[in-house]
Amino acid sequence: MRAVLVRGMGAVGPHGLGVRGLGDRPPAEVLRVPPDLPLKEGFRAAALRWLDASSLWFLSAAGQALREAQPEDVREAGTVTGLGWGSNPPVQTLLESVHREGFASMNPSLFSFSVGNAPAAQAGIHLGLKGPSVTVNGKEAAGLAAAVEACRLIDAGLTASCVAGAVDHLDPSAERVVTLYAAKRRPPLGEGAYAVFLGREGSGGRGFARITAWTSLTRPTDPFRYPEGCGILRDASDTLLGRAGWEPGSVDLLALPEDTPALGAESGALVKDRFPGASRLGFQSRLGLCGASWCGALQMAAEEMRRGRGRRALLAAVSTGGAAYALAVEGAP
Amino acid sequence: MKRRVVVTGLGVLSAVGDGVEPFWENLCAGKSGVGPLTRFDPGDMRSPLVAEAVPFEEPGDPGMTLTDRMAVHAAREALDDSGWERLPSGAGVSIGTGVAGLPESEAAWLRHLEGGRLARGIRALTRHLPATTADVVAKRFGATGPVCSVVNACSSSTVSVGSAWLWITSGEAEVVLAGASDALSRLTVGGFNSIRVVTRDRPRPFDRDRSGMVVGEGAAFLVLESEESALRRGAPIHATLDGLGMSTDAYHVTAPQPDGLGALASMRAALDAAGIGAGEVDHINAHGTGTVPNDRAEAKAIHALLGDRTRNVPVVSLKGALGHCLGAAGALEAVAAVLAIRHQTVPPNVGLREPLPEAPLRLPRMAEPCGIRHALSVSLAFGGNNAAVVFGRAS
Repeated sequence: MRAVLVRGMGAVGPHGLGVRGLGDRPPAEVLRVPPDLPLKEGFRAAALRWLDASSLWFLSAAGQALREAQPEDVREAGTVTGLGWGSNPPVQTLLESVHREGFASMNPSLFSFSVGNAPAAQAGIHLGLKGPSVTVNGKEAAGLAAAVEACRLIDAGLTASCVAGAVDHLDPSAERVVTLYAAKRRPPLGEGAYAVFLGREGSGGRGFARITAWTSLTRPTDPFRYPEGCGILRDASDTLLGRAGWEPGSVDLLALPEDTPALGAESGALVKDRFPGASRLGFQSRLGLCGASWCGALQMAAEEMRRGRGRRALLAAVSTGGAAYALAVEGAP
Repeated sequence: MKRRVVVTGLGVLSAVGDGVEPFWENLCAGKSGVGPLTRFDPGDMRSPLVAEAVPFEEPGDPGMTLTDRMAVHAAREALDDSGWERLPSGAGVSIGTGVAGLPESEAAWLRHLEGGRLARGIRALTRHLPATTADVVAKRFGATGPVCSVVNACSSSTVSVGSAWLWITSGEAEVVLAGASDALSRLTVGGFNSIRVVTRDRPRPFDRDRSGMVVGEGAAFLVLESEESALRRGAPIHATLDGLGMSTDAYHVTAPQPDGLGALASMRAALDAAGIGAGEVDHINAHGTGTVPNDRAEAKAIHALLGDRTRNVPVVSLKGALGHCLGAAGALEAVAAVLAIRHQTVPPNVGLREPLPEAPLRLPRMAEPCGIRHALSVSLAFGGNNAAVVFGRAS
């Protein structure tokens, strides 16, 4: 595996814009993105007229990450986007219009935003990213799923750099559906977009954190059940440590899931057993529970390292259905 | 040295057949699966033409959607073909889709709009998350390695097949069940009608007088594994999978870059990844939607790629036969590209009468024998998300 550098970061979250203050937010049952953020700054506003919240948030986060990274040639960069529960409002608006007035009433401009890769497409168009573009549905682990996929593309030489991130928009129907299968005792639900600019080590540009290994595996379960009690977190972290060549004792920062009480207990047992000296980022209670916030966890780990408050971080996410994704991150030399 | 990836199993459900054998026979015979929409009421749609999958038997678990059932059906055929009953330990699943369980979610939402209680259909609303199909397939066949659900619109499953290539070449997995499934939905059939790209005639990809596409549905899977694994267990090797290339037009959300340079970049990237030159490509399974802008841009890209060989290399679009199966299109076309290599035959461009004038493509109108060393399978999606994969003849 070739190491991948984190060279830039951007966020649109409950705290506002940017990674400064990430996780600072007033306590609430649901952590929402404030409605009055200057998301269109730096873009031609007319060109963004039809963008739904998911596309606009992701575009803003990706743009911030690019501005910080200042890549030599943005046209070569790719985009990997993770979706949690996708973008429901355009779909519902179109269906309501079909129900009310028939198929002929469907708004053609809205149709393109009902497609899964709409946020990635908008990032490509408005930021000029012409490299590979992949959108994955990683559900509750979307942010880490996207980062893992981006590392794979870079490692394979399909691109030297890319924006990787995830977006989740907690519209009323998504909230209702998520509440249906989410645990009763859990962190607050959240929403937002988080993006990092990743580049292959040695391909130019400085980074402030270094991804040295990644993995993903599955312990299949029903599509809307978490893989509880099967040791998936232990398996993912052991595989990752093996790939990174790390001893468990060298890990000082951890991001582990708290989506359900059972997963929280499994995370706690893993810490006690393998990583007793490590600190937990506790990002889900600060960013809110959503797939996108796992990219926020990567940003929080990188920020801690940038401030000299950690050297090695292990991040491991799981999603309903049974997929796990894990990243090994260390401070840049 | 990268590990070589081989194709050891194929499975298909499409508008021209259930199973690899009828699929290939009917493609080569020039049959078309295009007809009037019966899945739901087309109402005042501009054109009610679609390509529905043929009837099939797949008893599903409660809660499984049509997309899930199609996926399990095609995946099982691919695994049978490969000699596996269930996936071996550490195997992955990589699936592309566009709508997943959206048809069922739509029905629940419309019942709600008609006054029904949302709570009664709320479980169906969860089914449109694309990853549910990958979860269902992973559980049914026992995957324990990487699982990925790609939602790149119309290039979803070329990327899902290509992702499997990445996992195997990098050593993350030894065996991957890769493919796609997509059912017809109100959103897609109505939506493509709303942007006025659906034909009222019939799809005629690369034809001078083409007037649009029709939306199709189907599922297709490939069992991909390292060559060492296939040789070790004596599995049939249909072809090799040699490379993946991707690019972005960064031009328009629904229209392709008119000069075809974005599409060309993905084709060249795939050949680079495969370590071959354009002179070694003997067949292209094109995206070829049958819309005026797509086919013009893609023809230019193919001409730029092949140069002097443009008149010699057969280019085929299957969308005249299968419709445009959106998230599943790339996987169906990948299976056809592998079959073309295996049979050393290319199927015809169904619906073609007079080739388009923009590039001197060789566009077969009948199935024809052809020596194929490598075949390129191309998908071009909304947002200019382009992808191509290269298959090769097994030695």
